[in-house]
Amino acid sequence: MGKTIMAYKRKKGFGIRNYVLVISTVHCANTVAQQIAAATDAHVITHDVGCGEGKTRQPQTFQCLLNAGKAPNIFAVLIVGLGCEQVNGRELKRLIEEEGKQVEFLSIQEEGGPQQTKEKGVAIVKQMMAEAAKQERVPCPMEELSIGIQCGGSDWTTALTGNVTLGEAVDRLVSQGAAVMMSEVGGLPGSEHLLAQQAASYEVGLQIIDVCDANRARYLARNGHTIEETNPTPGNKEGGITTLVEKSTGNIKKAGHNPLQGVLELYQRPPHGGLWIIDHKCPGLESVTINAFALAGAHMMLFTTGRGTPVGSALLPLLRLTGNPESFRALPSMLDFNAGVVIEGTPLEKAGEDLYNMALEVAEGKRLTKTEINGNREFFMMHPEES
Amino acid sequence: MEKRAIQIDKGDNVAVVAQPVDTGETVLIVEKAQTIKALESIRTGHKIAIAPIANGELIIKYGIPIGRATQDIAVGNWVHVHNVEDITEELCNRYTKEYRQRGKQ
Repeated sequence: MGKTIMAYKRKKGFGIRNYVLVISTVHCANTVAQQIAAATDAHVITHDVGCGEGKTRQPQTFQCLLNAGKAPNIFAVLIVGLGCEQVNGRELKRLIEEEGKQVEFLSIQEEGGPQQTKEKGVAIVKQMMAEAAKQERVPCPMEELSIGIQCGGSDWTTALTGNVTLGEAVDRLVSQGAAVMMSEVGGLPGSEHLLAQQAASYEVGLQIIDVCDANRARYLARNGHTIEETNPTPGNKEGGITTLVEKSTGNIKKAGHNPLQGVLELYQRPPHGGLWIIDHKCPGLESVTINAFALAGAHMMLFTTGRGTPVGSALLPLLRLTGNPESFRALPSMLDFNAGVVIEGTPLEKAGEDLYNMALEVAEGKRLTKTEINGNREFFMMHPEES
Repeated sequence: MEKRAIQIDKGDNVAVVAQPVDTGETVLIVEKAQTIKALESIRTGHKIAIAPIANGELIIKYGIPIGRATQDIAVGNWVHVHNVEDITEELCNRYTKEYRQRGKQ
């Protein structure tokens, strides 16, 4: 066996955290679910759907909740429903149980109302947490570690020091067998030629070019002009970006230098280690994309920022680095790692190695990320666009 | 601290300045431990030429071509849209078309 990390063994793979998750099946159950979570410090998923949805969206909602329950860092799940909603809580329970997890379901209508459901739910979650606390970490193969990478809240340092440092850390993770996934396919046009050259095979190169061409076509259909006509944006140019190739390359630098293994669809887990791209087709900002990684089985995220953003995930710890030394000093409770040291003379390889080591500390539970400390446990429903 | 610029890849002919630079100021290229003189004022995050770039030559950043010079650029010049042409079509779109056509080799 290659390198191992200390983690919580699951029926399949492992988790790097032992979160207990409360899932609300429908907006009518949100308050009770939130109250149970508040009383126990469990993680909770609420949303504004779960009923009255059409034939296309309803299965998407169910799938999204299912993959949240299956996420590797989730030890056990309490599902809270109303009783007459579209999302079938008992079916959800059965499917999450296939992962070997303890799952309980409470229906507010069957339990006799919100108070009764809350009391029973709190007792269930406390019992689950006691079980979770008993489990010990054991050596698990690093080949099964899965990590999402992204950037947001960018400034002039994001590409210059942030993403290149992240790329160095990603190189080290991949060389130890881990799977690393990037998304942000909207930012890929302009670097397809580089990505195709980085592809593990001709077919993978073609897959990437297809994704970018589809993206260009969608952009043209939606906006009536090409990506090139408005990119780099005036704001990009103000910040020093001269061409689209330059802009796009700054984005993909975070993926490092290893061969790209392929393009994954929403909810698809990487079949083996190496570099992957997720094309989740869900409109929305960085919070939505963070969620896509968690639902594809990622254990944690490495996230580059310039100015600083606080968002995390209900399903995984997110380690946030900045390439800007001033942001790092100004926002100590938001940022985990300072890649801005590269500007001040630290060699890139050293910064990448330090980031890699910090990522392993987070994975082994020796360090909490700022998103965990701050309680940034966001969750967003995924509804892919028609393609 | 002295003014600095970052050369991302060894093959790059531009570096990115990490503070606003005024005409005549010396700038340390961190990776090369070498200083150059700025020929004009350059804003933070913008590019400075660290090698002479003739009209028509490629601008190299991240170790790859990102555009083409539209005039002669001297060491210390600001490198941006006024002296660089965006050749994404040539670098990227032509490559992907050829990639499709050539098929698996």
